[in-house]
Formats: sequence, C-alpha cells, structure tokens
Amino acid sequence: MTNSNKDVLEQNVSDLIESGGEAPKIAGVARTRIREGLVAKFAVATAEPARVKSRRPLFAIGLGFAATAAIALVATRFVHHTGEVAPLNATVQKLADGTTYIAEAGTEVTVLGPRKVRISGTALLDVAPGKGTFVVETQHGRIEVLGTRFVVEGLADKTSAAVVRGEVKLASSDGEVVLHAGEQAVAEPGRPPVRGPAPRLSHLVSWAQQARHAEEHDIASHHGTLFARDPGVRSHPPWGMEYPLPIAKLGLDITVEDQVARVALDQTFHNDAPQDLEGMYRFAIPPDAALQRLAMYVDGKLTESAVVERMRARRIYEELVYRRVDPALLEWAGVGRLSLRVYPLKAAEAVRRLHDHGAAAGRRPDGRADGHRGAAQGLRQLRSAVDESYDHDRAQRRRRGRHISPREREARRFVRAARPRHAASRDRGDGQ
Amino acid sequence: MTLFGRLFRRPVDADLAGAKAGDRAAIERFYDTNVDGLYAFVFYRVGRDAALAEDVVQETFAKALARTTDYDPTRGSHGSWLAVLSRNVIRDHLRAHQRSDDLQATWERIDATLAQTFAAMAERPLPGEVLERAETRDLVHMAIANLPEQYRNALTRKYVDGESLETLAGELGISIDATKSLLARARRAFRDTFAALSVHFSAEVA
Repeated sequence: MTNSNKDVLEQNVSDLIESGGEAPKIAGVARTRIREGLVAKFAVATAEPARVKSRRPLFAIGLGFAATAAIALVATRFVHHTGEVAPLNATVQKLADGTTYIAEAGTEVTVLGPRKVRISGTALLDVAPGKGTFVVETQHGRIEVLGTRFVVEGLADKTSAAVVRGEVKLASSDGEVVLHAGEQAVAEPGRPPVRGPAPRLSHLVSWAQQARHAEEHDIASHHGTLFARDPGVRSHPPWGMEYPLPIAKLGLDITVEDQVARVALDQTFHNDAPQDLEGMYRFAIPPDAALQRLAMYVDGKLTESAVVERMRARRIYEELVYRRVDPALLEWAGVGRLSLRVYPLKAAEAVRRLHDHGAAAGRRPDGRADGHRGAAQGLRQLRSAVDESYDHDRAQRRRRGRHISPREREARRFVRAARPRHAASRDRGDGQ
Repeated sequence: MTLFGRLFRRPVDADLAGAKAGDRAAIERFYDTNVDGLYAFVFYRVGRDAALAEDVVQETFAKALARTTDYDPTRGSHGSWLAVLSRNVIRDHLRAHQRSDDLQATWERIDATLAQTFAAMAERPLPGEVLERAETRDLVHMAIANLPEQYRNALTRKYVDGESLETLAGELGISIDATKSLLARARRAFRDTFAALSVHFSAEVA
C-alpha cells in the first residue's frame, strides 16, 4: 500500500468514526438493574466466607462510613419468622438522638450510649441521620449503620440483619460483611457471617406494620375519602348528592422488586346509611406512575377487569348496577387522576374492603409511597385491587408494553371496567 | 490516569478471577468495563430493540459468570469473549421472537453498505452519502464495540467527544507521541474489525 493510499485509508477511518457519533448505550436504570441482578446471583451464590478479622478495630472503620449514615433503621425478627404481629399497644419509643424504635413483645432494648444500644430480641428502629455511626450490639454480633434502613434480630445463638435501603455492616468475632439493600446475613458463633439475598423484606417487617401505621397516621390524611351516593340521587346536606364515608381501617404494604416499588393499600370504609350506596373513589397517582391493573376479590376469588372503550364501559357498569351485580368502573379523570366507581356499598353492618396495589414513586421526599384511596362496603368481604406500577425505567415499561405517557393515556381515554364472572343470580342471592 | 494509578492498575483478568470467586467488587468491575461494548454489539444485532438488547446483555453476562473457566485470554479480550457468548443468546431470543426473517433483510442492507464502503476505503475518500447512511453508522458502532477497551476509549474520546491530543494524553497519563501511537493502533484495529465484520456478515447472509 502506498503512502497515499495509507493516508486515504486513515482519513476514511477517521471520517467513519466521526460520522458514527455516539454509540448506543444501555439505559442507566437497566445498567444498574442488570448489575444488581448479577451481583445478587453470583456474589452470593459463590461467595467465600467473609474474611476473618477478629482483631480489626471495627468501630474505627465504622466511623469512616458514619458520614453516610442517613435515616431509618428497622429492626425486626426475620429468621424463622413466625408471623407474630406486634401488639396493638406497642408504641414508638424515642432515644435521645432522635432515633426511634418499636420493640416486639419480650424484647429488651438497653441504651449503652448516645448512639449505641443492645438488643435482645426483635425491634424495629429508625435511626436519626447525620450524628455518627449508630451501633446495635447483640449477644453475638454488632451492627453498624452505614446508611438508612435495615432489619436486625439478636438472639442468643445468632444475629441476623437485612437491609431495606442503604448499607449496614454486620460484624462478629469471626468476620464481617457489608450488606446492601435487598441483602441479609446471619452471624453465628464460630462461623463468619453468611450473606444472601432477602427477597421478602416487606414480609420480614410486616409484624411492626400496625405500630408503624399508628405512628404514620398522617398517611391516611393523604389518601382522601370515599364518597358515596344513593342510586336515587337524593341530597345529603351539606355535601350535596355525594358525601364521605368514615374510614374504619387502613393498611399499607410496600415491596420493591426489580426497580419497581409496589404499594398495596387496604382501606375499609363503613356505610352507616340504611340503604345501599354507590361509591365514588377519586384519587391521584404520581406523575410517572402507570396504572397496571384493576381486579376485585369477590367471595375470596380474584376477578380481573378488562379495558374497554369509555362509553361502552359506562354502559356495562350502569347495566350491572341496574342488575345489582357488583361492578367496578375505573376511569381516567385527567392527567394523574383516576376515578373509581363501585357498587353496592351495602347498608349497615356490612363491610367491603378495597385493596389498592400501587407503586411507590420513590421520589417523595419523605420516602413514603404515594398511593390510592380505597373505599367501599358490602354485606360480604369484597376486595378490589388496583395495581399501579411506578417504574423508574421507562424503557423497561416500554418493553413490557405497559408504559403509557400521561398524554397518551389522556388521548386514549382508557377505561377499565370490572367484568364480574360470577352469576348475577348468585350475587343477588348474596345480598342477604 | 496518573502514574500512581497505572502502577497499581488491576490486571483485567483479576476481575474475572475475582468474579469467579464471588467477589462483588470484581463482578461489578467486570460488568462495568464490558457492558457498553457488549450492548453496542448486541443492539444492532437484535434489530435496535433496546429492551431485547438489555435482556441479551443480562443473559450473556450471566452465562459468562457461570462459566468463567471457559475464558481463554489467548483467544481475545473479555469483550470479544462476551460477544461470542452473546451470539447464541441472540439467536435464541430471535428464534423465540420469530424475528429472524426481519433481521435477515437488515443484514443484507448492512452487508451491501459494508462491501461498498470498505471496497473504496483504501482508494478514495468515502462519499458523504455513504458516511451519512444509518447502516454505515451502525457498522461503525458495531466495529467500535468490538474493539479492546483502550482502543474503544481512545477513539471515542478523540473522534466522538472531540478531545484534543493534549487532553487525551493528560487523561490517559501518557505522552502526546504515545497518544498518537495509540490512536494509530486503534484506527488499524478499527479498520481490521470493520473488515472482519464484513466477512462475518457476508457469511451469515450467505
């Protein structure tokens, strides 16, 4: 090849590369998701026992991470969880530094210092951030909060920890492991701590749910009210034709899986009126949330809904109301707003429960889930589920074919209407 | 990279060895180092389907980490090994999605463009319309994606990001002459890869 040809070739190569521009890159969220998936699968499955560093000054090391310490330390039993529920009289206790905890029955929490406690049993803690490393000692282990929320159990024969968010370090005389979100570890005497995935974190902390809800009662105030009205459209001063029903029960559960935070909200309302009512439940969803699903539990059996054209859905709904069959109609009511109609809310003692599944935005400053409000009342237990999925990765949603932008959603004016599969006669007979 | 950084630079095979032992940090380094190249390689081979490309990337890394002992450093870099592994994954996915026929037409278009482009490369400047064609850009990305990391990095910074020789030399921690030499080797590698891809696709289409 001559020098001239070489120059041409070099120039063409340069031109080609320049014309190529930036190569396609994997989306940031997908990149993270895949990395975490690989780490969870291979780092755990083949991990060697943690390094033995019995003489290592753990506290000094912990201080290095102290600057990252944030909020919320949750401590609870999660190994051999027996499903105990925290007693209703369990209350949130507060330490001098602002850290709070909820202790399970029989648990001893001893304050050893301003940022140091000893736990024998199971407790759920919220550690105040920015005040140095928070240390939890158990009989056979020591946990240093490196950031945010985790779960710990201190028993006589072992210490366990699981991380809900952020990082913690679980150390014993035989070694130490740093746990990241979604991981758990067990430390037993004579063995280094063993780390693994914690796929059921929400279940592990569920025992403290009631106590937490009691503390976080302000959540309820964010979730609105179920309005009811007579089918006969009579007036209810001072509310007009629609009036709010009292809420009898509220439950909230949050799980995080594959970058998707899902919120399950249970709300039970009571109908004091002497006649059946129709429920009107309006709620807002986060800007990037996507509604995934509407289903109803009828006599314990899940009944899926269908997506149909708006006016057709309304006709179906009205017809079912007329026939006294249990329908539910979910309508798009503008950007970020949805309206759910359910019928009937049975009179008097009847209870009807609505169960929402939503996805935590994860963007709310307080870290709580934005969710839905539910309502209803009936002669038997009736659960309706609304799944709202909030996905940080839009590409992931497109892949699943469920991503709909607010503009697209409004344009489509989609309507989801319940399509009960049970026989109308059976429902009418169920009216009792 | 500073002199200190270069002195204590971790050998790339150390990451694969660490990953084999279950070292989280090694797995993450192995992944972070190779994911962009693999993704670019896969992206065009699954018909620009980003979601499918992500699936293939994930599956390929999982396959690689499950069989780290299969890697033979004498046969190529981690990137080329991953690219080889990804081919079977891609084939399985395309078969499952019944999209082989659609992609066949794409390969034919790319192959024709490639042949036309490459045939003229050593003789005369490439016409602007060839450089502007989407298929040409795709091939360039695929060729760059198949390069070793240091070549890919150098070419991208110089020609895509538009960094000067001085800046590039400073970031790489080497002299300007060494940077020129590195870029020359990178361009040759690109040209060879471009040619290899042409042969490969010709064989595939045939």
